[in-house]
Amino acid sequence: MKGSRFLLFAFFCCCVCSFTLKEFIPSPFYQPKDWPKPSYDFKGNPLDGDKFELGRALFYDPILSRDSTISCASCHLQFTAFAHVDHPTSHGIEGRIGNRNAPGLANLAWRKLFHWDGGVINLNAQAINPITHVAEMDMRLDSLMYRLDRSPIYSAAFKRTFGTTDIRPFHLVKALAQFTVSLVSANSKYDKVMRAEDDQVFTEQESKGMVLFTKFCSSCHKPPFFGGDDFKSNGLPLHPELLDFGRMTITGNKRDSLLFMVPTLRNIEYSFPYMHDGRIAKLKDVIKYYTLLDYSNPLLSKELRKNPVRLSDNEQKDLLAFLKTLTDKTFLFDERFKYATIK
Amino acid sequence: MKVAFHLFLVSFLFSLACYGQLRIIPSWDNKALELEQVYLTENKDSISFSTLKMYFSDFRFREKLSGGITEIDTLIFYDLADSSTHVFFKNLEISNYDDVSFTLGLDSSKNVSGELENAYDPLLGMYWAWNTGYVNLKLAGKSSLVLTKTHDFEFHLGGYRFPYASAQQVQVDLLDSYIQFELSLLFPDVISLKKTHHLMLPGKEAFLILQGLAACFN
Repeated sequence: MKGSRFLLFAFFCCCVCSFTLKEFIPSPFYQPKDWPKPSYDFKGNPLDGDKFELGRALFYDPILSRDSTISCASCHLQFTAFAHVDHPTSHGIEGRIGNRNAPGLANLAWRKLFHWDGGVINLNAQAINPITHVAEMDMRLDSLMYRLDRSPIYSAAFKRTFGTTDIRPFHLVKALAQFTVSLVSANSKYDKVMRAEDDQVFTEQESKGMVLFTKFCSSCHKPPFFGGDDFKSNGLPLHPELLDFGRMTITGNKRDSLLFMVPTLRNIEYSFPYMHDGRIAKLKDVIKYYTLLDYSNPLLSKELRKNPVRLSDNEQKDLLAFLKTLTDKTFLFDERFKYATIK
Repeated sequence: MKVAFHLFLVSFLFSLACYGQLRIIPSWDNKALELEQVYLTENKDSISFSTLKMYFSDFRFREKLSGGITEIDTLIFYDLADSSTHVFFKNLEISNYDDVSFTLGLDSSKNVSGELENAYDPLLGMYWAWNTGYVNLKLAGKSSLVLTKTHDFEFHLGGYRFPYASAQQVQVDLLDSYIQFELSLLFPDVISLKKTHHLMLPGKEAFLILQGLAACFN
């Protein structure tokens, strides 16, 4: 009798423990050593492993698009640095083509501005743009809320994580932000060398490349993010069909014409094609583009005009070797960011 | 006697219903505006409205006796199609105040707050996804002044960036528990539908139209 009571008690304890453990699934977000404080408002959306898992499932679920064919991951694939390879510009439902290259997603917690033109100023709100954009998911928010409400899986998940039976857009975008804010990439060879970790050292070629990078590139692509909230002109002429004027679209200021966000170079090896409209396919050709640039162009960013990138063929190879040290394979293949559905 | 009693009862109930309420009443020629109703402009052009949505914020009520200011820093969403949005401040005794000033729209801090709940809910149709922020006022309808096949006009008026921060300050006397918003004053001086019938961008035009709209409150 005593034995059966003990077994019953042990079973009860196991149930409590498993419930408690479920409640405390950790979010993968972490603060790398020596990095600045994140810009993201964690108080407004505290890290929560359960919400992260919901956001992860939503990120990979085409339920967000009008005809249920396109998910966030359609244009942001993990193993290509959450960017979109092959297609110069993103594509949406029914084969619709957007006018910008889908940028890689990493270290978004430290960003204040989003999109190539910086038109979005809040990571939570960012998700509304691709969901409702006619060339992307083309989904009405009210229809999406209805669809999620009617889904037994998602209605249960939102009830469990947000305690709501009335799913609103802010629940959805906060769940998605739990996932996207957790995409921290800070474990490349470059990071390990900087941290003097695992006896990692640069090769001679990488070291030479880093010197060149520091001299010619780092004024815009500043470490540790190698890109961010600045808008610059890299001299690319206006695309005659896309007619994308970049930052000027947002500010209405002619001085912002053809300025685009400085993209991060982290995982750049895998986030081809390059530039805001994906017009350059290979990384070596991006480097060559800068070496052939007309630096007398008054519309170029001042950093480029002051310090033209003049590199020999060998120096271009050295720079390329350094850029490849920014690849973070633990991030690209992190199990916690892979495709998942709600359990 | 019975009639007098009924009149008294009705007026008493009406005063109870109005207690502490502030209404915004859009109008055309001093009559309450109705959606899809055809009106005539001063020049006898037809016009009808299918959408009128707007934001109000930062209310400042000036008290009659003390002259003190009661500030209510809140964001209020108004939709002519939804009567539940027409009455505000149910717990405020409006008759205690001489006048009120408020913002038609949202200032920059509210635009960038990152809030997406309640009056900020994107489901209300006022959120600008492509350029983070909110439309201050949406106005749409049909008019013979619009020289296209459909005669449609549509204005999404917003923007909070310098130099065209378009939210407008409004001050009105509180002679009653409602504020009139007379739209016939807009045409043709503030909005020339022959020239502009669609506007979806922040900028000088949106700023000037909102300035004209602010002058329609009385």
